[in-house]
Amino acid sequence: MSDPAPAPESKPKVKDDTAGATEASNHIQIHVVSQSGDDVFFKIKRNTPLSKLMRAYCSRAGVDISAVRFMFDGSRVREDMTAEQLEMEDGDEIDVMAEQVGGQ
Amino acid sequence: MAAEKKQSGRVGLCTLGGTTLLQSELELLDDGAWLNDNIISFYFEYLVRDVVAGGDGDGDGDGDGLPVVFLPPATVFLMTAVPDPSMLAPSFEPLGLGKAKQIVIAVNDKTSLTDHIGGSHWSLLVYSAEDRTYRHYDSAGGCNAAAAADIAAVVDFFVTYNADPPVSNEASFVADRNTPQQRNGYDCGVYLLHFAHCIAAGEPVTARPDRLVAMRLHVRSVIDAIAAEQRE
Repeated sequence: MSDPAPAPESKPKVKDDTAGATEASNHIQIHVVSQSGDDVFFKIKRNTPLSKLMRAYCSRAGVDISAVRFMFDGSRVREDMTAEQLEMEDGDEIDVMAEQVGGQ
Repeated sequence: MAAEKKQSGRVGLCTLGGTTLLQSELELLDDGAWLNDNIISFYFEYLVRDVVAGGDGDGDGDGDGLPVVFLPPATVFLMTAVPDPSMLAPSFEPLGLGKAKQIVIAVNDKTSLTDHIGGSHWSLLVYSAEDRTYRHYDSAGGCNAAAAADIAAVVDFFVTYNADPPVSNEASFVADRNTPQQRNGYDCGVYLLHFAHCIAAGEPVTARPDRLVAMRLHVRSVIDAIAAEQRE
């Protein structure tokens, strides 16, 4: 088993302020945590499709959206779902898993 | 409208459960291509919807237990990637692992937490609650034996988490020796899907190896049918 925390590439926590400083409580903060433990957080409206967050994450992380899977409580998150539908709460975490392949 | 969309391959083709298949991923079903986790997740969703017929999978039709639970690759990877599975266990309870009669688990040998894409071999692990056994179906000898044993240990943590009454007996791990074997370097994902289909249908994995030849076409036709159904 390899060490899951390689030091050199851990990114600093980044805060997404684009949603404005203190909006009404229909905004919640969602952490997006990669398999290597990088934690980025976004503010998003409860009724905004999570595709917005997913795409923002991918462009920031420099990965193609087709190469990652977003998971909440062990299940895949679809792009058209909202935080409201998934009953997400402020501070909840979405995990990002990379594509897996196999053939041999 | 003249210019073809540059990103048309990334357009979602159809969606089942949480899994959206992309147009570009259909190429993975061509002969010789390796399957990715998304195709496997999609096929698992299809098995749950169309093949695991109502009931509890024991064939007596009395529905006295819960049906088969399928764990797709991303969920399995997430379970094994966290340093402490007890952090995840409470939020995973809705998956119903503690109550399932059988759990069908996609095994991949990817271990790197930093690679964006990884793995080289797929196999299938099936947990049976009745005899507390994890049986490993590997189409390439024991290639994935180590990965499967690690995954079985982690999944068993979730299976026994908060169990009522508590589970006292140790689970056993068995490498199935009658598993059909692939004769090439690219079909393991296809074998995994075939094995999973057998389990979903309540058959032994050795049933109908003849279906393996046309498995890629079968998966393609399942996807085409679902895509057509969603276009309507």
